[in-house]
Amino acid sequence: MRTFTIKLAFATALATVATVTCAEVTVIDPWVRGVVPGQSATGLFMTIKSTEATTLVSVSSPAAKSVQIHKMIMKGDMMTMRPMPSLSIPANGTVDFKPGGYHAMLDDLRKPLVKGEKVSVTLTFQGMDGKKTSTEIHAEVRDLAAPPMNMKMN
Amino acid sequence: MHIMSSRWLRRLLLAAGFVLALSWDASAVAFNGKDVSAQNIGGALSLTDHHGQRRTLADFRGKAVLIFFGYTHCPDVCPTTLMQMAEVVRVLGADAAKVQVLWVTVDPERDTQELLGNYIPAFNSAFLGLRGTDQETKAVADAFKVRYDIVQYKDEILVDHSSFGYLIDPKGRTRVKIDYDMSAAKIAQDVRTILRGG
Repeated sequence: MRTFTIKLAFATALATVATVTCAEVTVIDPWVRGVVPGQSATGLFMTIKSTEATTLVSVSSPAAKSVQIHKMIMKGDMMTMRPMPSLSIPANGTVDFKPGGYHAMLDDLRKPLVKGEKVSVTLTFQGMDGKKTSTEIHAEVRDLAAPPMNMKMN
Repeated sequence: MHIMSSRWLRRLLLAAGFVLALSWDASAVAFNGKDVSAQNIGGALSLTDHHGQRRTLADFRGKAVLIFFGYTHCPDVCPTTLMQMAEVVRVLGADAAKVQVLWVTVDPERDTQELLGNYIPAFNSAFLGLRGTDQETKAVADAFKVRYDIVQYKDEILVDHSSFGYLIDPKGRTRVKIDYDMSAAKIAQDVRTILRGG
């Protein structure tokens, strides 16, 4: 399991000011579902934790022409997927990108993603002060048939 | 007299109810999924499999069929369902030879035969991906009471679709609705019930 910890949004710290606010965002176990030739889209899954309230405002990757934050919603028996313009992460909160919930959709893949590869992904967060901070993570490409952690087998 | 007859009537109804309950018990089979035997779902199916062979349900007589609907652009529910089916087949062991998993694309425009031929065997080499023209896809979905909507959202094409599937018995009758969150063990149990003639 890989964890990326990012220090975000350092407040302007004047030499005479002792307090510095600092949001620490941790991205745990980012992975991308592998694809077969001909398949042009896939999902990125991960867990994001933050010590301060922040908002994920964009996701991008050189591996895909477009990346959208999606939420999977079950409406009765219907599976629907809807884009989210941004996603709030509460202070000391966790947001899971996992099958059955959120995922980042990597669309128009520039080439098929093969198991074992690493995909560079840039996450941009906007703090409560309005400042944007971008950070790069590397997501492992897993098997197309990689089961989610919470998959019911019994 | 009036009171007596009403008491008798009550006894008679109770006895009738008891007999009915007994006969119901004898005929009904307990499934983990919802029993849809009486709903006359499915039947008509004429699609092309990922090898290019034309298929109807009659091709699978003698086998239990698990049928699901989805699309390959789906990063979430569809691969999860197919993995779940691979697990069902694994749990079934030797009985797996008497089961056919079918996966019908509701997005035939983007899901070409070639793509299905790469995608479906990644989960299990015995599974079959099926596709048809728009009209054929709609006809199958209607027959199985499955809904799907292709939604254009800015530059994205989003496909909403029913997440459930069905278990069809070896005579081609649709018997059990398989919900998305049903476990592989429970699905496998229903497959075994069907294979035992339930």
